[in-house]
Amino acid sequence: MKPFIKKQTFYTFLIIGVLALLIFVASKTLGIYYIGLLSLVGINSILVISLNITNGYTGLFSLALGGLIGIGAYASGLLTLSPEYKSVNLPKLPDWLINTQWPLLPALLVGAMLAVIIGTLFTWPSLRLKGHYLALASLAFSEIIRLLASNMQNVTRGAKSLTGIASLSNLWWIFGFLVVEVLLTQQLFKIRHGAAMIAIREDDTLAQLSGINLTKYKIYSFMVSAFFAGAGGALWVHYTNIVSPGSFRLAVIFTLFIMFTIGGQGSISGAIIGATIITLLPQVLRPLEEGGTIAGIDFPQLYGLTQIIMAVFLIILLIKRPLGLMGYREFSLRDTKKLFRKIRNRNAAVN
Amino acid sequence: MLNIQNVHSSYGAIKAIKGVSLVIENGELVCVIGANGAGKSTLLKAIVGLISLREGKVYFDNTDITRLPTHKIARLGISLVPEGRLLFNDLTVRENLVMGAYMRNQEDMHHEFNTIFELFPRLAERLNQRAGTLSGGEQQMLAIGRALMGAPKLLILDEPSLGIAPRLVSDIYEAIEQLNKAGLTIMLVEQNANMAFSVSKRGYVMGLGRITLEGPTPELKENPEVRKAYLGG
Amino acid sequence: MNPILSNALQQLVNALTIGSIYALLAIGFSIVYSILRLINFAHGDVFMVGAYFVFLLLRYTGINLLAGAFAGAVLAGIVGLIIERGAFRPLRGAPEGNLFISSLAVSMIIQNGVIMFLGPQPQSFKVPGFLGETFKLGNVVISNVAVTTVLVTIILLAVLLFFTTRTKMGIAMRATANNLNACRLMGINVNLIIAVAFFVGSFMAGVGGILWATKYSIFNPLTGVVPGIKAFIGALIGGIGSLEGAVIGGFLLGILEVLVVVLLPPELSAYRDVFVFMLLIVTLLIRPQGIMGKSVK
Repeated sequence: MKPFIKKQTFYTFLIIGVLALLIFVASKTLGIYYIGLLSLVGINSILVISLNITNGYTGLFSLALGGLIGIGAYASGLLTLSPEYKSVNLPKLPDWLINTQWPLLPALLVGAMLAVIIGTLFTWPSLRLKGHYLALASLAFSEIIRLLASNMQNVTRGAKSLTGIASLSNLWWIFGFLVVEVLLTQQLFKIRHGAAMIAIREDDTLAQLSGINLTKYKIYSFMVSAFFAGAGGALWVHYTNIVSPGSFRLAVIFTLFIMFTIGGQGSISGAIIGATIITLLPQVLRPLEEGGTIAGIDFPQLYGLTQIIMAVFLIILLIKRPLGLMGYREFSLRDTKKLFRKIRNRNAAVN
Repeated sequence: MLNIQNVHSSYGAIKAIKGVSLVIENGELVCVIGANGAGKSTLLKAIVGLISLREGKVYFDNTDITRLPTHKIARLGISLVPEGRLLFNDLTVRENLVMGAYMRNQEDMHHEFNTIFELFPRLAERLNQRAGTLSGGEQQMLAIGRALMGAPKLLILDEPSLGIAPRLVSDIYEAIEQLNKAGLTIMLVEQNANMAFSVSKRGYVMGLGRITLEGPTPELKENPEVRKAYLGG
Repeated sequence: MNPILSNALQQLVNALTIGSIYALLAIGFSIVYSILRLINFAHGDVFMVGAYFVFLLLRYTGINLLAGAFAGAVLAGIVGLIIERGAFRPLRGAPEGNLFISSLAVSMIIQNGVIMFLGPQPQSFKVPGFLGETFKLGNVVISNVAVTTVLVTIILLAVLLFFTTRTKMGIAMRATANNLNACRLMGINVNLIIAVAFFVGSFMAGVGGILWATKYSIFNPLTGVVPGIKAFIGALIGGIGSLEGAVIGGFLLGILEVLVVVLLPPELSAYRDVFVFMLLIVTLLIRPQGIMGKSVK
């Protein structure tokens, strides 16, 4: 007898259902600090998966993430800020912008689309060339966005930051969006487009000979990734309530790269695992920077040490285990069963 | 001088060389012939350390060079003229030759230069030209000249006739013969069996990663399989 | 002298000064790129570290400027050696994305290392003695710093030219840019040559950093970031992988940057960096191989 619904779809709905339940419980029971951490994990996951699409699956090396997040953040922020705030702090904005105040979703979508449009316009010339050009062009793009944010005081308030952005993100929006992103990305890499992108990663020349129009797929890949990066930026700014040009400088983006590498460059589940680990780790290491106690040992104040430790760790990881935790595989049902079996065995051995 | 014992090597999962053994004595000119893909170039790269050997050993003058890095092997006196020549295209002819003598001290270069220009007069005319602008035959001459600058004990040539106009091929082979007559030990790897047999006294035949035949050249020339496969029946 | 002419000359001096520093940076970057096809994102930070070294040497030891500057540049070169040995050599043969990430990581380490030991606040560099003076040529005020910068750059470039065309090791460095395996076959220790290349490139970046500090007097741990990116762009415009191209690109960038500042109204002059980055896009659109480069597709 044929099954009622496909196994895959059933499990997908199951997981989404469980997730929804968990979020419901979390939002009711956890304190602000933990909800905050969870939100950050979610947002970072969204951003790292965006990195997976270009840098992981398609094998491009793009540093555009900073600029894309910035565009998403500022654009959506400007659309959701109240007219009162804008008329006082940003009087030179055009009237229609001062008087609009949108809810989260449309502002987010506009931010994401702007990120796609501006990002693609800037990096498109380099996408048809060898990898190094994209690396430089995307770096330049992010720097330009940062510089524009610094200098266009009338729009962004420059270094004074855009403040007072409403806390419109919550766990539902963040994880809802994450689910959409995961589903979309999975679908993307099942169909022809995805296969093409992976082919590009594996062997550029071969892909070209197979008649795949490389540039077209590189651009698609970039655009999808840009959309989620912009969306992630919008969600993030409505969580932190503030954005400044320094918010998305390279040092911050670097942390996302660490998550990307640790988790496994071509794996969605890897991205989430990596995001979780690296988001939570600084909380443990904070005493190192501020001077305090970890595990009973006193540390003097060493600002910047966390970054150095993580950077060194990243280099060692690249040398020893470049595939990270998940490489290009996904965490599947089989893996879950294996994990449970391992835990069960260990318990049995103990008893 | 060169003693290769039962070497195996792989490209990823594909075994390119399976249990090859061969010997080259001082002063010999030995050829290794075989079709495209027989593993000849792989064997040469493995000898000089550009790719690694899974099993087996390579001895040069009784020194075990199996695991030595390429530049150390070169300094022991083995000069390879690689497939595709691998010239320094942006450097001039002179600079390429100077690089050939890199491991030696500055003294004898004059002598070496003269030897090479006697062998290949064309090169003398083009000393300051960029190597990438030379014709195919001239590039091959430069590649050989560059290898000679190191005053090697063993010269290995990988397909010197490939892609070269026939008239230049005979020039090059004349030079090879002269070098051997002057005492240089030479290992010659070729698809072009005719030319290879014309200068060598002894040879090996390779196919699908293995040595299928060996013996003095006259015997090989008479062998029906060899005639069919490499000499046009 | 005609005021427009003297103004133009003034700007020309400015452009040459800045162009020299960019050229030094770009050449260091190009040397490494031509051999390893590696974009060293930490190059700008080596530039910054050179300035810091000299600053510390001058403050805490009694040595004079010349010795201090030389020592600082050598230290910068050594930093380059450490980077090569620790972060790039172990990754040779790895997919290029990993190399990029590694060089980003190195950049973070250097920047945060400086922040950790010396703090994030800007340092000021008092230009000693005669360097701080200026002289006049007609109506044009020329600072000794400017003259020194251009002179030092010319001398260094001449030395580099001599090195790469007349010395065995220098020619070997150019050879490795063509084909690493062929070099090995010649008995050349490729690892050694690559290390030398990194040292030379980083030394020149260090000198660039010192010259920058004497010109602008103020620097902080992040000072190297934007000039680093501009150096990449200069090298690219001039022809990526070509040493002559790097020099041309660096000077061109300096001239264009000054031109932009002169031509734009004063409120917009902060956008000169944006302009430089735009120039990158234009180059990628019309001539990606740069002025001196060979074809890329």
